[in-house]
Amino acid sequence: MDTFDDHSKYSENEKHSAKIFNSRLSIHLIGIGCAGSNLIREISLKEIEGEVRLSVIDTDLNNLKNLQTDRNIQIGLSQTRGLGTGGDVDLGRVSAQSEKDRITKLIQGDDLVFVFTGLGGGTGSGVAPIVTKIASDLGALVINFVAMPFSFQGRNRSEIAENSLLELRQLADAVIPLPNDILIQQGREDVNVIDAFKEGNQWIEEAIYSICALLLKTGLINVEFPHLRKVFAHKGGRTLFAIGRGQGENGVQDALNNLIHCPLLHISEQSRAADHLLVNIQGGRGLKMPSINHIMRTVTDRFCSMDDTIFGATVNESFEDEVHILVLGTTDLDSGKAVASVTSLESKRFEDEPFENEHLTKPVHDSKKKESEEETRQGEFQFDFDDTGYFHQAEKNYYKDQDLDIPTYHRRNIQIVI
Amino acid sequence: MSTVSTYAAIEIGTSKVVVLIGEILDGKTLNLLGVGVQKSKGVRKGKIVDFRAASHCTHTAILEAEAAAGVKVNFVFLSQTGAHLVSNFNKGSTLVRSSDNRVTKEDMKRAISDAKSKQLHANRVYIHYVQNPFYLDGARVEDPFDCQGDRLEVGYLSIHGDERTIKDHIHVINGIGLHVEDMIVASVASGASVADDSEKKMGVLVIDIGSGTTDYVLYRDGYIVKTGAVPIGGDHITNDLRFGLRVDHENAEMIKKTYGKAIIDPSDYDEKIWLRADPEGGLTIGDRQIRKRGIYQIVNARVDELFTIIQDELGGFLDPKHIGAGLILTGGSSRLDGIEKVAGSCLGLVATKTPISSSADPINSPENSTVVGLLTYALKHPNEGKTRGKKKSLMGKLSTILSF
Repeated sequence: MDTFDDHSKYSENEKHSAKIFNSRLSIHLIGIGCAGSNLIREISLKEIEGEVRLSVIDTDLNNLKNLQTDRNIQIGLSQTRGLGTGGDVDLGRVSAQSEKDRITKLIQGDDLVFVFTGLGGGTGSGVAPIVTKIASDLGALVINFVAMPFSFQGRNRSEIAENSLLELRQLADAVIPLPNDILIQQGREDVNVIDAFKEGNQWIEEAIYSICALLLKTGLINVEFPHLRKVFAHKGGRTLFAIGRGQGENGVQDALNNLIHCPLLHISEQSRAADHLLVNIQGGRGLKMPSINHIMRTVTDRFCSMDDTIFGATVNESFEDEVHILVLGTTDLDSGKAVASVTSLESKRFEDEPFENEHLTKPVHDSKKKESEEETRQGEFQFDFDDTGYFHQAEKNYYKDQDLDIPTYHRRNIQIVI
Repeated sequence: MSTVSTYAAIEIGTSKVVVLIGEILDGKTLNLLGVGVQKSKGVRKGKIVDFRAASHCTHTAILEAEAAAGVKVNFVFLSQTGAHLVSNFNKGSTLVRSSDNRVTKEDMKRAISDAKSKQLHANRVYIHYVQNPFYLDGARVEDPFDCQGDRLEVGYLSIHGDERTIKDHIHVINGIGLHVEDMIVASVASGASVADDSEKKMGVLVIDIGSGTTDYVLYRDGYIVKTGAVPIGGDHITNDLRFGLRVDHENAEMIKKTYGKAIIDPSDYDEKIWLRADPEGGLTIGDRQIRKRGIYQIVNARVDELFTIIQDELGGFLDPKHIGAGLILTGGSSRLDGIEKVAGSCLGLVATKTPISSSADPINSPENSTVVGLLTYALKHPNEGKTRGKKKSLMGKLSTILSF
């Protein structure tokens, strides 16, 4: 197991000045607990592999073995004897607190920290908030990906997870919850457990890779680190996060459809509209400017972020005709704007052909768009009778800001057990 | 002298067009002569969205009914529904003018016209004025004529709707060469057919859940005090199931009718049903199982919301003390298993369903309560047919219809 003796050779001052003069961006991915270490073990960041530091913090000694990471920290040795917390959040918290110095040294100098953990357990829920706080206090931009427990794991566990989620939202710049339940919903019956989890991890991998590639690689449209900071200027709100992939002739269209149907968009923990939006498009050499324009227009329309959207587009040599879209957004807590637009936004989800080429042929000027935002949205409400909603021709039904034609279970966020 | 008038009650509903032809003998007895039912086309949530399709199926239904009845239709009563209908309660008052303080017919007319005089927005027209009791110096009187008092008040429930929507409906009938004699709000018609006079006296809430809309009418002391329509119906349940279970429209409809329950019934919610591409044949690729729980959850959420909205709309009117006869559910979607339990617990009333007849008896099936109510209404207001038989232009027609 690695230690960070080499780090401790530097004094605080030297480290600080090194940071100022080091123009390279320091990105750090930290896995906490069992779920975190599993992710770190499996994650593959392709060609930017060497540029992102990977670490694991865990109370369980077994988990830390055989990890090819830069640094691992085992915490709480005196409290847990290296056996894990057994679900005790306080034990996790105490363990992390007693190792504060080591954690600080681990994170120091990082610009962007991704924290990944599974909430509901002792290590995840106990340690993650402390690590997040330390990273945040050190001035890093902290993005948390947290796996929420399965509902069959009991109410106790999900209550712990909910509380930690709220706590993390206050501390981190962005928190992206990934409910394990959707792994069940998404997974077909023949998918085994390992593959189901793998799929969950892939979302995170994709997200992290996408954000890193955005910052580290030179793209068609560049995004710099300060841009990213701007998106996450406000803490405490819900985060919007979705990924879409497409391939082949209609790659752009497929990716957009895939994005809208991204299961992460349809969980109650996620925001459905955003005040600040970061969109990254990755494509092969064949990625064309009109396609980018089309994607950008559609995505901003959908997520109601007309005012503050940051776009990036990168070319990935290995992609050929593949297109990946990543959307990451935050909501200002105090402005009711994004919340108010949720209904109209959800209503659009039921269009099966939401991205007709009309967007390309009949672009609405931005200045006009704001005035007639409501109208354009209604105009876009085009159901195909045979494939989609039954109420495509009739006028929309609003009752107290709710579109009654949208299924009630969906508006009430009821999870359907199929 | 015996007079016979033939009436057609027409409901251009979201799922079907129903035409009932009946005759009224001596203004007393109603005889049902013929029935015509056609699947609706071009109607969504009670609104005509495709004029030609709607005309065509209405015409077919009328011809079918005429053929069955063996008579030609003289007068058409048309039902109106949809969320565009709004009811307002207006009060009119006047001072009794005569020197001996006895109420004259003139005074009554003045009070009534005062109550009806409220101006509407452009594009809105009155469909119904429903009279509520007279009050003389604050005391309720059934008939104030010749009573003594200073101040006469009368309340009117005015139901008004969107002019264009109503014109579309009338236009369908006009296009066939018939003229609309009167329009009745579907909720009022349903109320007339399913609740009897004693129930209306005790106070009763009638909810007619159709395919596209749900109409409700609240009676208190024998008078209609509140009515309205919510744009939710059985189609919404089907549509919800379709999205929630990811099935097509036909399968969703089948699931709703066969397995749908408005309550999340723990006794069988873990059972699974097979969803087959070919219901007759064996299992094929793509067939899958669905747990009943999901179905119940989806249906329950929608039904619960529907009654919550009605509860919201009724507001202070929803007082169980004044609704002694409770709640009667009717309309096609009231066939849904357990819906009365959700309605009862949501609205705090004792809920009953209209009995479902096993035979294809058109008068007693919940789907037809509106159109049967229309005919019942025609029976109760037999004179109107004679006084307003003149043919006028459409707008002239509208104005006569709308100002009784």
